[in-house]
Amino acid sequence: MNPEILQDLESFVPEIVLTVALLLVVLADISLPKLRTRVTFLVTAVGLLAALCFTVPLFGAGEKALFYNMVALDRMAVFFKGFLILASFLVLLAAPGSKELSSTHLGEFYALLLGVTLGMLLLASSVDMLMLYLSLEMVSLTSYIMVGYLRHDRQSNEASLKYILFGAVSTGSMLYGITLLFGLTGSTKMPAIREALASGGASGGNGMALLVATALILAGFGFKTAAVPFHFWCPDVYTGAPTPVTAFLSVAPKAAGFATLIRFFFSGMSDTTTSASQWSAFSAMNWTSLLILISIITMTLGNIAALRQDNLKRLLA
Amino acid sequence: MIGLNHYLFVSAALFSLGVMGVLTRKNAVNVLMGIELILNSANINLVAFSRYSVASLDGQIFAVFVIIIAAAEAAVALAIVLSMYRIVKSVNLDQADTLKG
Repeated sequence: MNPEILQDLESFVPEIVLTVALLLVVLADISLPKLRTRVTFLVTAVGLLAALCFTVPLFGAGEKALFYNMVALDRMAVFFKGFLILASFLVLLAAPGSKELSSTHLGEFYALLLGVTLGMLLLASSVDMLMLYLSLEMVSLTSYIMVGYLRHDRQSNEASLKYILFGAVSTGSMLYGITLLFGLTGSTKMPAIREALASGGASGGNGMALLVATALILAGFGFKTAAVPFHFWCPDVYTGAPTPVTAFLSVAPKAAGFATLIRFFFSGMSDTTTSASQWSAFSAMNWTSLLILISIITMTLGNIAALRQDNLKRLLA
Repeated sequence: MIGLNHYLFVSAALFSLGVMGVLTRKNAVNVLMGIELILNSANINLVAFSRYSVASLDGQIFAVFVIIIAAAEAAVALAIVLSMYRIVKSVNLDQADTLKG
């Protein structure tokens, strides 16, 4: 095997630990029919804590790019990793006590929880559009299943159905945006995209197409973070999902979504304002102010809508 | 001679059809078909760009990953639709209205 990849694995320990824990949970769930509730819980808890322990020393390790620039390891990524693992751990502690969940089989729930955590760690640190899309889908698919975990409950099913339809459409349009960006810049790596955009050479000055591509990608992020035009799924999903899942979904995937949003717009797009005049249509849009506007609308509308809701979980949305 | 633009037109048409299908259909399975159209239009884009404008295989590899993700997504979505059908006895999205959001 390539020695460079082996070296990179050393900085990839938290993800490896989570993967191993995930496989162990699945195995224990099948092979230990009597002890499985306890064993799977313990394995998940130990896995998350170990991943957290391995994440903390990475904080001072300095910036690196792993696996041929697929994954970045900088302070922001490590901070979000620690935060996300902690959030998953708290949800894990809440799961066995929950009335809704304890009536069902919990081993698979722990496996899903580990899977979604792994996906979020990758999402928070990905600097390649391919990696970003894959980890986004990993988080999305596992959270669809978690929302619909109560198979015999109508609301849980309905919430899951709505979530997957909205989610699939928005990730689909985000993918279309990514492909346009790939065509315009000739690369899937964020630093290379920035350089291509800054020099303006690769695309022949097609500002309109770039605008469409960015808007589509923003739609995908908007869904993940439940920002204003794409927030309709939120109250339904929160009501229908089992309570620990609601708690988890309202914090962790949003944090991961924000992490990628920050990375995408600041490492992928930030230099465009200094570029040649052919990008004027694009730089005039000024992404920072657009994002600020969206977040203000989201917060205001969220609070106004909350006044009218009687269900506590809907209110949280 | 068929060039990049022809492929982009086809993929844009597929994308629009997919979005239209998602927005207008009431049957959950039809909506899923619309989603597949969206994903496949992205695939056409990737492969066309990779062949005509970008001198690398990145796009084609990306397309292979997208096909896998689309299959996984379809599996999960159909499982949820099936489980919904067991309870409601219908795949009509108008019936999914106990949560008014």
